[in-house]
Amino acid sequence: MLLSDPQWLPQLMADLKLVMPELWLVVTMCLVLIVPFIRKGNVILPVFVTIFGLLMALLASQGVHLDSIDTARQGLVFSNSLAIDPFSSLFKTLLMIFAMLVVVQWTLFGRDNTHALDAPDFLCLLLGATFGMSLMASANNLIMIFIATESASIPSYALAGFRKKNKISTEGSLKYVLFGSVSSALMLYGMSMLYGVSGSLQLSHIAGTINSQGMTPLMVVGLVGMLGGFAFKLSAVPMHFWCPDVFEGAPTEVTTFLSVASKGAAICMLARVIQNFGTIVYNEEILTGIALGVGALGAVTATWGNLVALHQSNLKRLLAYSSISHAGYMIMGCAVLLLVDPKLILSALLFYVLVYMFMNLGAFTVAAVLERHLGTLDIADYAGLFKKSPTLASLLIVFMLSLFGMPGLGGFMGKFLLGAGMIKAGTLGTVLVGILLLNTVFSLWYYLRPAYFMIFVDEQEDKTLPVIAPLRPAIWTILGVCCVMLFWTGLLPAVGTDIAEDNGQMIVASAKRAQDTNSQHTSNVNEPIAKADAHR
Amino acid sequence: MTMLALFQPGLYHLLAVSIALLTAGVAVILTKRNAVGILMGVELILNAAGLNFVAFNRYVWANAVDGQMFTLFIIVLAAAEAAVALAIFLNFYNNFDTINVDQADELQG
Amino acid sequence: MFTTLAAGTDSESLAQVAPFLYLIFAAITILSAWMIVISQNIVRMAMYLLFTLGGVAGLYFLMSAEFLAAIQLIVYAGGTLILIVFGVMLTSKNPFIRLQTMLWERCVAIGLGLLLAMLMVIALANTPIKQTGTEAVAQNHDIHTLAITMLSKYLVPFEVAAVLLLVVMIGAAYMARRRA
Repeated sequence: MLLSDPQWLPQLMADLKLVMPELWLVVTMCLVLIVPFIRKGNVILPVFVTIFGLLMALLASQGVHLDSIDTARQGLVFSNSLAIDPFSSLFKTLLMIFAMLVVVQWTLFGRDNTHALDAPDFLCLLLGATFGMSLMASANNLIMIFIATESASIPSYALAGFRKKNKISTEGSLKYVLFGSVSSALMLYGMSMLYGVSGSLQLSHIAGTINSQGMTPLMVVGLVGMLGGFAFKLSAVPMHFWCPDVFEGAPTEVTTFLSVASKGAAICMLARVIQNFGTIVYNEEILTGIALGVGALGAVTATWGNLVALHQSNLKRLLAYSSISHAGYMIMGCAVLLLVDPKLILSALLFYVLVYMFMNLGAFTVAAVLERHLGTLDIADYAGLFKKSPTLASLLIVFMLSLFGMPGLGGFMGKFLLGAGMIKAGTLGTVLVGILLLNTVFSLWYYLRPAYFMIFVDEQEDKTLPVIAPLRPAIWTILGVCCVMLFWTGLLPAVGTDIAEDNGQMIVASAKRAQDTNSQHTSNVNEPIAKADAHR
Repeated sequence: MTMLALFQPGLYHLLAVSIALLTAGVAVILTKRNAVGILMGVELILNAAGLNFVAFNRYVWANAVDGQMFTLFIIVLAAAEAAVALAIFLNFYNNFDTINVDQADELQG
Repeated sequence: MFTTLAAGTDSESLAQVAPFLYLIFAAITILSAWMIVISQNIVRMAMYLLFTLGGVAGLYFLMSAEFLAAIQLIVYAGGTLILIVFGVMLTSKNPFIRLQTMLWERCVAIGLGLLLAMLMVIALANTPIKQTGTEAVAQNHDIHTLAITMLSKYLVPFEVAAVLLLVVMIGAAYMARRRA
């Protein structure tokens, strides 16, 4: 047992050091709740505290490299519950940066009184969701996957309905919570089957069971159930209905946050599960089967998202369907993780998340500006916008082109790296790359529609656009940063790809360790000895 | 006496109950139009999953208590999820005066 | 009575009573679960859900998971269900609101459910599972073992659940309160 072991305290402290980002988030959450007692109705103070906390979490997530981690423990902390590896650390870094930008965006867009009074609630929920997502990126056993998913989802339900008086927002959150609870229940049922087959909650041991027993029908049922739960978080196709409704109804900041952070975290979780199977299972046939299943999910998601996006007239819904298809591309990338050198795909996924973060932040910020100043999200109403405010319109066009994957912009490099990884995976990879290319070509049509209306359609006589008031410098700064990042990652991708490549490593517990875990209650029993040896 | 021996609870007896609960839950989710009704269906599926975990723990993998632990967390999170879900239903009701999901048709497409 | 049975002080008598208890609890659970499907009245549905939860708690007792059974009764039947009943009370003007569903909708749903059940039965029948857990081993599943496991192996999920409950409290309070 852990407590009877003389090394338990140093070990606990060592483990705690690796989860510092999450600890900072929890501390910040509490501080944000206390702040209103000092000065009620003040926005700046809680926002400042939140940004400070996120910054500390960002700093705490730095410096995790494989060689800096105790090799005996491999960064699998707290009895293999969490895997703190370079991959999850870089994702956490991106997540914290993104959360900070979203907080800034939220602060800039709301200016009324209730906004100030609700600030602590909003920030606390946002931090809670960030906390869940950063755990999702590290979750290494079924119980952790379940709890992390829930602690990312439950605050998101409340965030989606944050505009309480708004009917569309309320309705979006109702659909979100119903879909979410049904899919998490089905995921749990699948997990119970996985436990029944393997007798363990460790991913590595479940993968090891495939080696010893083969792909039993119960295992298939369990995996499909679990994938269903993941599909909800990724808004992959059978579970995607909530996505456009929630994205349209939720406040724009929340939409931005959910479209990138929630999907990115779910991709990390999927990649970790698949990576466990890919490392431990050695039966090629079974691996190809799993890759085929996940790849089909991704291909259907990407295609469906693009097809429905073709006839969307609302800018936010268009971006929602576009985010569904981007999730599809990333799932397709995850699928080939089993078949090729995982480093290629993992770094490509990280780079994709990095680029996608700035594209979506930019596009949604422009959408929020247009919604606020023109009072409409209908693309046809934007006719003649290019003449009125050329900068804003051309920024939107840049973001749209990057989402499409225009060479020279970040989106292209993201897709290129993903495709370059996929093509190495034999026939399946080639087919997936074909689907990726085909989808990209199709998507050009709807990504250019806003541009077409803004540039080539003249303003109608009866509907004149209101003049857009000068925007705050801070909004221009956000847009400028996004735009610069896209050109930078598109034209000089070396820096981004280097960082992604350095971090494209994931730790997988060996199946044998997991078996030890199963028979001895804690996996840490043997480790103090190994550690003591290392110190000598 | 042989009849009774047939019902000496084992893994498959419990799994049968769990499958019945799962089917009932799915049927509830598909038929009910009331959001609270759908939530009840979710609770049924959660109970089915919990029953599975405990049954596998008791009859197959009895050397640790992983299954029971998972069920414990399911119960905790079911309560948490129900709390937020009901708050959202209440808010929806305040806006629309109904919680029938059919009425939720402002958003289409 | 249950504790002595479950603790297996007299395993002979347990073996004699267990089939009866199993039949009773399973019948309560399954019948009331299906009554939820059939019932058209949301208040009755909540009532049947209570019986289902109680039946499941009984099955937990039968599997020597006394702590879980108690938690199921206290938290689930006593907490979550009350929450749901409150939800029903607050969101229906007429307490005996009827939910009309088409007959064909119900048939389709029940058909789909049966299909799912068949799928599960087929999957189970084709997967060999060795039942190795004996009554003697299951005796170790006492609250002491649960506590040790929770605070060592599952320490992180336990703490995360605590944080999650804080966030849930904030979220639910925000959603449900009225601000002038």
